[in-house]
Amino acid sequence: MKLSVIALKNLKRNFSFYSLYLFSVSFVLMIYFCFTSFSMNEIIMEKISSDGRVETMCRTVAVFIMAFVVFYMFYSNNFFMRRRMKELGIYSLLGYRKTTMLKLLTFENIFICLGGTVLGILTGGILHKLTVAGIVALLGITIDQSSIPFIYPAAVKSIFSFVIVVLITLTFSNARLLRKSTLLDLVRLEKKTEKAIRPHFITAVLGVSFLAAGYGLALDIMRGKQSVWNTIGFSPIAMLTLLCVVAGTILFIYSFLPYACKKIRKHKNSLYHESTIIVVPKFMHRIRSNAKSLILLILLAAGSLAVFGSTVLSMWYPYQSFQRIIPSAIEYRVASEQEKENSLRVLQDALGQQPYEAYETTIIKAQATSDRLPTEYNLSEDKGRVPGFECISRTDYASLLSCQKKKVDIPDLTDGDCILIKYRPDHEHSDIGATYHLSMETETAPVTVIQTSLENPIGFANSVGTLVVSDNLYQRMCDSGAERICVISINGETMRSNEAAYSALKSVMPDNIYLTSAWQRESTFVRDASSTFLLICFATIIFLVAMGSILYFQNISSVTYDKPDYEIMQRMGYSHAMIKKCVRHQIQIYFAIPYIMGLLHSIFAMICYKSALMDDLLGRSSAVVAPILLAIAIFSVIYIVYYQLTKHACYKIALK
Amino acid sequence: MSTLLQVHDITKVYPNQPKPGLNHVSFDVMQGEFLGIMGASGSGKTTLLNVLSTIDMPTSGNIRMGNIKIQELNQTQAADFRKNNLGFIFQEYFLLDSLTVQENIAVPLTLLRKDAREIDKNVEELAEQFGIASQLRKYPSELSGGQRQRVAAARAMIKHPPLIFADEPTGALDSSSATELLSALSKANHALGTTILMVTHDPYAASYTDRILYFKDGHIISELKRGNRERRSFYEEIMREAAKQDENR
Repeated sequence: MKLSVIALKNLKRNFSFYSLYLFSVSFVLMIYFCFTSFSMNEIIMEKISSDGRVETMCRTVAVFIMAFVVFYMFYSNNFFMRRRMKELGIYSLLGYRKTTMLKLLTFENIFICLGGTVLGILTGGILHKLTVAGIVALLGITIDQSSIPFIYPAAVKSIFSFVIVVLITLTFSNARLLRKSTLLDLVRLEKKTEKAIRPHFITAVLGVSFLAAGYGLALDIMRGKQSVWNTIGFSPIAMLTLLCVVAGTILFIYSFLPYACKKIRKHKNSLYHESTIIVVPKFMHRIRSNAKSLILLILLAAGSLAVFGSTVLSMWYPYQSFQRIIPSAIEYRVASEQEKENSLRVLQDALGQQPYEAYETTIIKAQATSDRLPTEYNLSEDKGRVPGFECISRTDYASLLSCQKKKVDIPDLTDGDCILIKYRPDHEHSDIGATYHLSMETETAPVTVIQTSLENPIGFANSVGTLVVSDNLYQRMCDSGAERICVISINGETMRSNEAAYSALKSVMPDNIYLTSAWQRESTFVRDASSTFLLICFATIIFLVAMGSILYFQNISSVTYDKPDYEIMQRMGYSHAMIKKCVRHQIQIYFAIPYIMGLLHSIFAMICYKSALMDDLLGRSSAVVAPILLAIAIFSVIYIVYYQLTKHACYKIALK
Repeated sequence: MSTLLQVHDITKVYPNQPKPGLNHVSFDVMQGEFLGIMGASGSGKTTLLNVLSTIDMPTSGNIRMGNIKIQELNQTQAADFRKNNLGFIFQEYFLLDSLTVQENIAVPLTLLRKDAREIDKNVEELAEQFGIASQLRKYPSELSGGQRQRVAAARAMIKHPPLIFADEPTGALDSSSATELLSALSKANHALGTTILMVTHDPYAASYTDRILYFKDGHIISELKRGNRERRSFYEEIMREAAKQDENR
């Protein structure tokens, strides 16, 4: 009988066994094809990426996906090879040479990879179309979707060359495995039990200590200037933290988990439970062969969640700080009474009956001397701002805040008091008590900071060094003939999202660089950021789906492998419910480890990222919570779906 | 001697198979009896074992153990029945590879929710009895076939079930391991009054039993009783019976 015929017959007969392999291969190839098509899709790229940033990101993500596909195919190939050793042993007994067997395996791999590729291309094409439709709907862009081909010939070429390379490498790996094994190995390997890991106390403790050290270092960054990240240097500590976490993860899986299992096994009161006595030894037994994929899953989860979380963070933060940077819905300077009247009339025409408030503030620019001048005094000097304070009266301050619907406790001010508005949060309140000598034409007025606040009632574009002084002092400063800046602030319930108001004002003051609008800033920001955000979301979801699939196939194959054990257990008196419980616990362990550790790693990474690289204008460390929650939510949803799928599939196999 | 198991007129028909696996089979098993089931391949021995042990359902007929009608048990009740009343020994040992010998033997008592100290004490005692006390910390893969089968036997007996099913328990063993196992079974049968139902091909193994039922094409064709004879003489009769059946093939 020809070898190809044997291979084909073998495939047919063991279809259920091979279908798992086939589907897993076609699944990863689907993701690969979808992504390649996406990055080749010029129509959508033109719309979402103006500066080539998305293309670069696509290329980077594609490298990761390729690495993942290679890993996954090797993983499944090795797994299936191990399970087929007995069959190969029989071939060997019948007199087939190893070269002939290798040919047989290669034939089978070609059948499977070809089938997987065709399926992958078809499903990948559909997934790509769906993705594009999703992006179009989300971003509200208009493109002719029918002009996007279902299958890109270039993507097909790419996937085929990739699969051929993988096939050649798989063949080499199988050849190595066959050459290494004797006939006796071949016959016995299938059920040959793995040597259990002998856990050591020291390495187990070391694993946990490395993790604790890594997390500790990550948290240390929050101490700011005193942290080792600042005193020793950012790069060495970043490397050290990464090293600690990776080494900690590896040792945790290879040493700590088996050690913990050993402890449970020694503690008979906890071991002797109907599911524990089955699940814990099984887990410990398999840890050697599962450790690599568990470590990979943890790092994959941590990596994709950290990238996702920090992307959300780097968008969420600026978006949140618009409230501070542009406190009023619209704000602009006016140079003359006529410009003011013109603008207000245009605004009235544009808004009609819509309620709004226009408030005029006159800022007095004042120079000062002091041995403790705040950073805000000289801020933006390089951008042409004259150093100094922008002084406003307490009444204006209170009225503006009230227009902006902000409730702030404002102390009474004497002529010697002032409130300093900070640009960046200063938790140590180092400016309180500082005395500034404000120079007026003929005199100087000493004022002492009695309070600092982050609530600037005027946008930072118009007033960086805002100083709130008493009404009386403000009046004296007005009279002294100092430089005045007249600022109009427009507020109202729906004004922050009002496009018409901004457009009308822009038409009468096209050259006014001080005209700022919350709507305009926010919409520009959203437009610029959303393509990056979508791509990161897309990549994260793909990675999480890939993770879920690895877990799915891994659990399915181990339950399939354990099927005889479940039959024995049934004979011993385990009911279906008890077997389900064992299966469930077994799956839960495999799902929980990457979930918990991946999340922990990524949360610490996000904290690090936030403290090190974000320009913190909000002054609220709680702002990191939202992105973390979003990352957890996405992760959990995908995870729960996969857990349920896996659970039911495994129940079916175990009890069939 | 009272009746432990009453098998009345059971038939098992498999879909797509012309002949029934079991064809109107009736017999009783006495309390404390060591019963052998013999017959060629395909004669219905394993089907009988599966049906009696609630792993499979008969198409018709009744099986009673005390007050329990076995064929009426639902899935959960059947599992409980196996947990409380039955022990199994198989030719392929069917040990759980990832559990140590000690844990393997402990599983049935764990299922019965016994106290941890009691479990350990029982496991040690039984391991001593079966000559596997020094192997308790090892994994099944580190043991020889004979040792594995003794572990399986210890696991079947640890909860002192009223009834043990043994399916070709000596099939994969060398003669001395087989003798050790059979003596152990025999001892349990005499000392503890455990009822054993053993399916076997091996006349030597069968000579340890009290009575043998011969199966052919799904029903009982003959019966041999040992009575008060020595094992040796019973063995010779079994051999004569085998020769007789060979002639009638």
